Amino acid sequence: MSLTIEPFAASHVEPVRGFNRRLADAGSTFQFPDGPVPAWLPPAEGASVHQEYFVVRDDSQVRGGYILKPQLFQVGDSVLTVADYRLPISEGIVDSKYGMVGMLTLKDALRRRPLLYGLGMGSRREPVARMLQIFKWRMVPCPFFFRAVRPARFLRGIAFLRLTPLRRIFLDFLAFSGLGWAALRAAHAWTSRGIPASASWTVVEQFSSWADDLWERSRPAYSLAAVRTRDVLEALYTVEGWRFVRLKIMEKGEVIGWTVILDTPMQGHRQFGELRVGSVVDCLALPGREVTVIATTTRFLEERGVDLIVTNQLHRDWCAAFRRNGFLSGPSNFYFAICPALDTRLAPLDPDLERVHMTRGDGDGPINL
Amino acid sequence: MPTRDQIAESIVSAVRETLRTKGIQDLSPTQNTPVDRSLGLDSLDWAAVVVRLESELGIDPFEQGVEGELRVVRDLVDLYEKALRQSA
Repeated sequence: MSLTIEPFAASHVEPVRGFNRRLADAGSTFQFPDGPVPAWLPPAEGASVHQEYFVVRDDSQVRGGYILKPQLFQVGDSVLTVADYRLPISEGIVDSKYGMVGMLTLKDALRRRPLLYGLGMGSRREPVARMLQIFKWRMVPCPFFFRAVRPARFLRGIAFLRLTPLRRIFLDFLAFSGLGWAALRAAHAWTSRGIPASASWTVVEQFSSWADDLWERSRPAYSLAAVRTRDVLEALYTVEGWRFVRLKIMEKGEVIGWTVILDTPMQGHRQFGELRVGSVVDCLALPGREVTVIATTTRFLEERGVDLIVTNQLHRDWCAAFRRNGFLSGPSNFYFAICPALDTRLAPLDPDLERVHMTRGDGDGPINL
Repeated sequence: MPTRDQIAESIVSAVRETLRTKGIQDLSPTQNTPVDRSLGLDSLDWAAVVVRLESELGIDPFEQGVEGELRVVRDLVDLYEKALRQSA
């Protein structure tokens, strides 16, 4: 076994397809992209954020791969390149002969981009998450919040909760009797009481200079946050085929924040069944205005007619803002992990990672939303 | 810098201990032992071996990338010896 890790080139296309076939034949659902140019965030001259594909070559075969998404991050008072370590796949998951490949991809990624994070992962027990923990990465869950806009539809459609016949009967009872509707409505209303509806939203087709101004005024609130200037936001949220909705939130003539949302009618979704789900994918606000920004976004999504609103957030003020707006916590399979070098930089600034801004927008795109 | 024999002993010991952790008691790895599926170590096991060796030997040669073949434990000994020599 003679392994070399290199950027994905045209000559790797057929070996990657062979790799993917071997994984599928062995029953794995993991697949590596089979072309060298990412459809989402391709490398380009002057691109503010992009993806890089790497493959693990074993002579004429490919035995693994991984993706990096480097971009500028605010880290304390510094602006540094930090990369999202994504989709590490090893043939070792189906053939232990290649058991070293997973570790080698991680080591190679750190050599290329010494400051790495990971986002998602499914659970701490997933192999990727366990590998990172072995190499002393710090891992924390990104809390999941939800608000049932239409409680009856939510109770009848939330596939994640309706896993057994008994649960389905119970949830249907709650839905049809009105008890579930009343309880959820009461919970949401109680926790969101007293928030004035003083702000307004505008759906914008593009981010412009107001986004740059908002970033400059809001970034001191974060120990770690991807730079969210206009050019980065346009790169992330202008993707053909994806229906991102960009809301500019204003109050008394001043831009106080923005949110990026998705409004998706799910079909046979593992967790959400057939529900129409509004997702708060990304957000930014002037410090102290997070509650108002989320209240305004929630009103927008309710008026739009979604059944359920969901989000994952890590920063304490955003978590508090969602709770204040009547969102409830649910189990999270969305983890944030940082490599030891990044952890060392953050430790004196934010030892509990409470002021780190991580959202779905910082991960692999809201693929599952 | 440790001698080659000491490096080899650390690596063999790390592999042996990891096998024992998995409940594999009857394998006595040597420098000629293949590092392929016949050894029974998966990716997480190899990660644990590398972390243990970094703690003992103070170096992780995989941080600089891997050149050449990795077929048997002796190839790992070569890798670590080279990395230690370069860092000395």
